[in-house]
Amino acid sequence: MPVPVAFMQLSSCWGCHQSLLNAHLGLLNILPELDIVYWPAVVDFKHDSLKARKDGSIVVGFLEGVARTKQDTANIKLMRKKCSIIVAFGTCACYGSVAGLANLFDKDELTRRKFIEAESITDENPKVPDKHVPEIEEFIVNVKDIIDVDVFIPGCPPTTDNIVAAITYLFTLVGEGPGSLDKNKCVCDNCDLFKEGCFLDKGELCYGPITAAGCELMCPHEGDICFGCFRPTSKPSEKSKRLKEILDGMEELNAETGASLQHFLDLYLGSSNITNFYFRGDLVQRLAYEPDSFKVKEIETDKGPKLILDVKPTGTSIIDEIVGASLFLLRNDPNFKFSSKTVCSHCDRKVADKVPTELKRDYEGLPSMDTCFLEQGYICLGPVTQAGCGAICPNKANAPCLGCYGPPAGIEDQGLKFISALGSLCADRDVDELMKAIIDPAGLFNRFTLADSVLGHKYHDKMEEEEE
Amino acid sequence: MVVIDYEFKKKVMDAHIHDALKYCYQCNRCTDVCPVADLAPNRYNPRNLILNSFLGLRENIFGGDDSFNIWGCTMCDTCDEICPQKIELTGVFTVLKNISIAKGEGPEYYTIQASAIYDSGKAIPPQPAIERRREQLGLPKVEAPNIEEVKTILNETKLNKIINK
Repeated sequence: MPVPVAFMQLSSCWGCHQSLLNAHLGLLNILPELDIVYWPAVVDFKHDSLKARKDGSIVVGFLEGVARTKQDTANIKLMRKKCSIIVAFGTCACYGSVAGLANLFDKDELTRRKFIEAESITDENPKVPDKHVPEIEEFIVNVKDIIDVDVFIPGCPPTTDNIVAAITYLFTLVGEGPGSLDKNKCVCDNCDLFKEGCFLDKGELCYGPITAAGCELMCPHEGDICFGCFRPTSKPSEKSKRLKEILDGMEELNAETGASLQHFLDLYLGSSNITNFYFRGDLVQRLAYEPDSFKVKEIETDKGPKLILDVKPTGTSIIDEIVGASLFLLRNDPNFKFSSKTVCSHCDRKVADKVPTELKRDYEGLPSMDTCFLEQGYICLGPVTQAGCGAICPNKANAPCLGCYGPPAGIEDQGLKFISALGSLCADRDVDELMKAIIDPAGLFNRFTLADSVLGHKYHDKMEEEEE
Repeated sequence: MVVIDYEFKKKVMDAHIHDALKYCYQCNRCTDVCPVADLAPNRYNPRNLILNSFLGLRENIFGGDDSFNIWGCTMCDTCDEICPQKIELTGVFTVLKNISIAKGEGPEYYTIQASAIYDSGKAIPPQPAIERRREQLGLPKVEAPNIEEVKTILNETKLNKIINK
C-alpha cells in the first residue's frame, strides 16, 4: 500500500523541492511507495481537493517555506489537520531562513520598499497591491510556533541524500516487521533460560520480557542478553516486573549499563541512527535535542516513590514505565552520547587555534584552500552549525559556512552562540575595531535563524508610534 | 510496503558498536572518496548501503540481480578514515558480505577460490609450468601443505557447507 503524502509550499523559492527532484533515478525507488495527494510543484491537485480529505487521512505532510502571508498560516493549520506526521522541510520551515531576516523591519517598511521604492518599478503611481493577493503577516512566526511539528529536516536546501534518507526512514515507521513477528508472545516464551536462572534472576538487565517473539537469533541462548530488537510486545511476561525492579534499584549508571540501555532503546524504539534530521517521535533523539520537553512523573515502587519520564511509546503501562525509567536514567547520565557534531567536524581544513588574524569580508582577497577560514579572518559559522551537509561550502567551494543547517542539538540561538565564540577567540582584540569589521551582525550570524532567535522582531516600535 | 528485518538491523548494529552508538549523517563523504563508486557510481554506493543497513531494509540490499552493490567494496578502508562519525563502514560491509555468501548470492569467483584452497591448500594450485620454471632458476620444490589440516579448519568454520563440499 503506498503511503499518502502531501507537499505544501508556503512562501519560498521551491529550492527544497528541486533538491528532492535532484535524486533523479533514485526517485524511482521512492515513488512507488508514495501516493501523492497534493504537490503543486509536480501534480495538478487543487487546494479544494486537499480541504475535502478526511482529517488525519494523509500520513506525511511536508511543509516548505515560511508563513509570510495569512494564506500561508491558514495552509499550515490545514496541513496539521489533514496529516498525521508534519515535516518541516528545509531551513525556512525549521528556522525561518533568509526570509526571516524581514523581521528586522516592520510590515510598512517592507511593503513600501518592495512595491513603491524598488528601482525596478516603472509604474508612475506605484501602490501596494490589495486585491487578489493574500494579506501579508505582520512578522514571520516560525512554523513550529504555529503548529506542532514532528520532523525537522534543515538545510538551505537540505542535500538530496539527506532528504532521501529522511524519507526512507519515515517509510520504516509505517513499515512491517518480518513475517515471523508475533506480538502476542514475548521472547521469554521461547527462551530456554526462563525456568532456571536467567539473566534477570542474576540481577542483569535483559529486555526479553517486553520484546515481541519471533526472532531466530535468540541471543540469550548464545549467552548474550536480549536487546529488544523485535520491538514491543503486547503481552509482557511475568519477568517484566523483575526487569522493572532492577531498573528501579538503579540510582546512577556506569558506562557499561548506560551503553546497554542506549543500545536497547535504540533497537527497541526503532531509532534511525541517522541524524541529519530531527524526529520528535524518536525518544532517544528527543532526549538529546530537547531533554527538558519531557514531563516527569512519580510512580510508586517497592523501594518507595521514584521519578520517571512520562512517555507512552506503547499502550502497555509496564513497558511505558520501563522505557520512561530508562530514559530518566539516561537523561542524567554524563555518558549518554548522541552525536551532535558541527560542520567543523566534516571540514578538511587544517586548524591550529581558530584565532582570526584580521577580520575580512568574504570578497576581500582570495582565501587559502588549506587552512581554517576563521584563522584567515573570514567569518565561518561552521562551529555553530549542525553537521549533515558534508561541509560542502568549505571543502569544495572555498566558501565559509553560512550556517544554513541551523544550530546543533542543545544550542538555542545560533547567532548568540557564535558571538560568544567570536568573543573568546578575539579576547585580546580591540572591541571597536571588531565592531567596525562586522557591518551587519544580525544578518551575518543569524542569517538563517533570525526568526527563531532571541532577537525577536521589529513590531513594538510601530506600536509606540501609534501611541504617540 | 516496506519490510524491516529486525534481526538484520541488530547484526549490523552489533558490528558497528564498540563503545557507543554512532550515527550517520548521510553526508556522502564515503561515496565521495570511494574509488569503486567513482568508477561504477550506478552499481555501488557505500552511503546507500549504510542507510539501508542501519534501517534494517534487508530487501534493498540482498536479492537483486547484481550483487556488486555489496561486493564492489574492496576493503580499502578509505571510507572508514574519512567518516566524520568514525563509523567503521567496512566492518558493516563484512557483515553484509557474510550474509550474501550464506544466501548463495556471492560472486562465483569467491566460491571457486574457496574450493581451490579447500582442495589443494593453496590459493594458486601447483602448476607444471611454474614448477619447470622454478627448476630452471634452481629454486627448491614447493612443499605440499598438509591438506587434511586445512580441510579440518575449513570444516570447523563451516566453509564446506557454503562451497558444497
